[in-house]
Amino acid sequence: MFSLLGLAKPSRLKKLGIVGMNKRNVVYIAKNNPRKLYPLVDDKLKTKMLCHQHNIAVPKLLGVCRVQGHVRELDDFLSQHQQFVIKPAKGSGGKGILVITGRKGKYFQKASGELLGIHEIKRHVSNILSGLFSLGGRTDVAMIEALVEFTDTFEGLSFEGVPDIRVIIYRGYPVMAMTRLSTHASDGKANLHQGAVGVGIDIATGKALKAVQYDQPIQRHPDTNKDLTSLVIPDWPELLTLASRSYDVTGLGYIGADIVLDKQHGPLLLELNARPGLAIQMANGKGLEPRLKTAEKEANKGEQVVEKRVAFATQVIAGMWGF
Amino acid sequence: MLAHLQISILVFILLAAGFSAAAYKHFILGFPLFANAQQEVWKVEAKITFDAVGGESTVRLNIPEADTLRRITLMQSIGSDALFSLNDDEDTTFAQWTVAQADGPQSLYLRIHTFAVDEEMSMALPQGWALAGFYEGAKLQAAQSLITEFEAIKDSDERIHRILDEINLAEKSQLQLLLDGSGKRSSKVKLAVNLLKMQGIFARSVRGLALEESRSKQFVRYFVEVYIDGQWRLYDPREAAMTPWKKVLILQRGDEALLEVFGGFNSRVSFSTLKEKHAAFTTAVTAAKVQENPLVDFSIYSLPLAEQNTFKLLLLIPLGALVVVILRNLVGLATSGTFMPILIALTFLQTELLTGLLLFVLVVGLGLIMRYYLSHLDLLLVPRIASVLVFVIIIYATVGISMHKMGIDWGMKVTFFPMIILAWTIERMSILWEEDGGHEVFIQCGGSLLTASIAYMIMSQELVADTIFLYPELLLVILAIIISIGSYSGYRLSDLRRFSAMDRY
Repeated sequence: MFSLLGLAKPSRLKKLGIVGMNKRNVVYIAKNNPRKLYPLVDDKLKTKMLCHQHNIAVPKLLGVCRVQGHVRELDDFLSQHQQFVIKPAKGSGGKGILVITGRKGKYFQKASGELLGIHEIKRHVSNILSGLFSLGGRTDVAMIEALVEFTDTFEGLSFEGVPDIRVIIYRGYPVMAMTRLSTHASDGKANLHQGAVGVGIDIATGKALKAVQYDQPIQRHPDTNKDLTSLVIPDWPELLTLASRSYDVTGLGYIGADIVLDKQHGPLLLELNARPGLAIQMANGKGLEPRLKTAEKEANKGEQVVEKRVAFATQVIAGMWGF
Repeated sequence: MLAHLQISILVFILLAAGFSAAAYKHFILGFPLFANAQQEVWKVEAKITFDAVGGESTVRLNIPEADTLRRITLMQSIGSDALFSLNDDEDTTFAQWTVAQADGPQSLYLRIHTFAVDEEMSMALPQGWALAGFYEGAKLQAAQSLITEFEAIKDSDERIHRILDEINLAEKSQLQLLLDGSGKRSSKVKLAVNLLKMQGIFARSVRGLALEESRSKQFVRYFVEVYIDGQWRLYDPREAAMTPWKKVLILQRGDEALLEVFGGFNSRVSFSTLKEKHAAFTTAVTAAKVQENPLVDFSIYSLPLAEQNTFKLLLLIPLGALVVVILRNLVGLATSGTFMPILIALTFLQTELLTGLLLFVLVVGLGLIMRYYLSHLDLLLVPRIASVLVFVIIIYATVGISMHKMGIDWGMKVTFFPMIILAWTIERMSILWEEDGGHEVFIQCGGSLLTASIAYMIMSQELVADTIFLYPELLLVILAIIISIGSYSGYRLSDLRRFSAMDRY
């Protein structure tokens, strides 16, 4: 009956250990993420400050525009910088992020090549401050960050967008990872249901497992035709350690850490998400539940230092396929 | 786990409280199961006439006692300035009038509204009633020979029928002896009662009104109450047959006097009966109010009628919320604005479904076009939504007026839509369109309208609305369902669809 309607059999999903929306919300988020800790990750500026305190590598913060009065000073301020990113502190889903990759005379060049004048940049910042991109339209602040120089690893694998690596951290243990590659269809966005490619990454090695687009397995990037399965993320143990430490600094038990790879600085923590999506299961072709259960069992034995947690993840959790 | 247990206990308590309150109202207070049930209500009017002799006179009329079978919703003296009171005196209940200064013919009226809630009578059997000692000598012998004859009939109903029948005919010599030749109904009933008691069957003569049809003038009649085979039965001695309890309004039992007049003579009482059909629910509420039942006294029904109607609508909202919860958390449907569909469904209640859907699409569509222009202006948030709100009003006016001119009268119904909600919907849809594309807008709009339509279809059922109004405690049941869905961690239908590709891995 289920297959006739294009639905998966619940028993089959259960066997695979797929976590559904309700289970994620009721069991994993509600029990592990205390509401009062949300602001730590919902406000990217707070996350950044926290990371600074704990020596977690993040893209460098150049400045913050807190009030409309600051917008007037942007002329002076931006003249010192060739490349930068402006983003709303409370934005969600990558909304309101402006990436400037260079200057052309008095114009600023966007990642897409489009040129913007200082007025347009000021208006964008103004919009951020008035809450255009924040949840519920609350007033916000604009963060100006240094542009990350991506490693060559993703050369030809991401179309116009920012390739980042999402790692799900459960009670401090990395349980699953994927990288999201934007495509022409996803319009440069790293959103899987808009057509971005999701590539599952083996927690043990940092090697690509399988790739999906629109929930269907694929082998090659649809725009560049480059083989996706040959991808290997460099600095993998370092990246896992960075991601895993986000638990120590936030205290959130179920968290999605988004990490980018900088040419010079290695892995940098881009942002944290207290309600990470479930599409990662599709990109990995595996369910989260067995891994979450294993991590939980291990975590219940007592707090461990980050190195031990990462080691447990690569040795035990990475090998799990289902119940 | 502890939270899980807590939820289970809470859900259980809510279900138990909701259902038991509803059951109490249904079984004990006689609330009908469905609001559309009809109830036969009898309006009985007693007319007492007497000639006063001057000075103070007191009139007592025995009135029906409250029992498990019958509810009395009204007991009122009308059209008289006599001092009126209802009294309980040991085991009789009576209405009393005191007329200070009266001379000549007087008339008093008592109005009673009553309805039956049960078919079976249940009351306590009197203790220590006599089995013998009614007759002596020849009469005793006559009675005993009759009893031997009657006791040959094994079927109790048949036997009582025979007894009453024989007494009515009064052809047997023993009967003539026992009746002393009297043809009076009271003598016959007394004989029947005595004969039954001598057989060890408790019987009692009662007087009451036959509630068979509307009649302007009726007198009290004799009936015989018999306790046999573990149940109470009522017999009509004239017909010598069993009569249903609910067809008789019993006014007087055993040796109680029906009417007593002090300071007057020539007293008579006559009754008029009128049958009316009422919504069963109204009569149940009135009856519970008369009994000062706290469950009804402190409920919606104690409010004035207009306010009750407001609540009738409010009580539907949890049903809408339940639909939203089911569609979002069990099905996984995307809607724009969590409870916006409920408000749209409430609007549909006023506009009808098709008209409502059409108007919604029209207003939101036009609004999106106008909002599209605004997005070029890069306005601040609040002024932008305020502008959309103005657009919505303009669209209301345009749609309403132009449809009116075209002779389409349902166009004006557009004003029933909550405009703030529509303004926000348009704003949200417009942002969604820019960020995620038109596809997502159609999914969310479609989801919202589907949810609203389903909620409407449930809320517009009069049976549903009336039943929840009748049993507002069912809200606890709805709450229990919502809470248990709130802790449901299984798959949504949308999960099954989304992860269907996993099957093939």
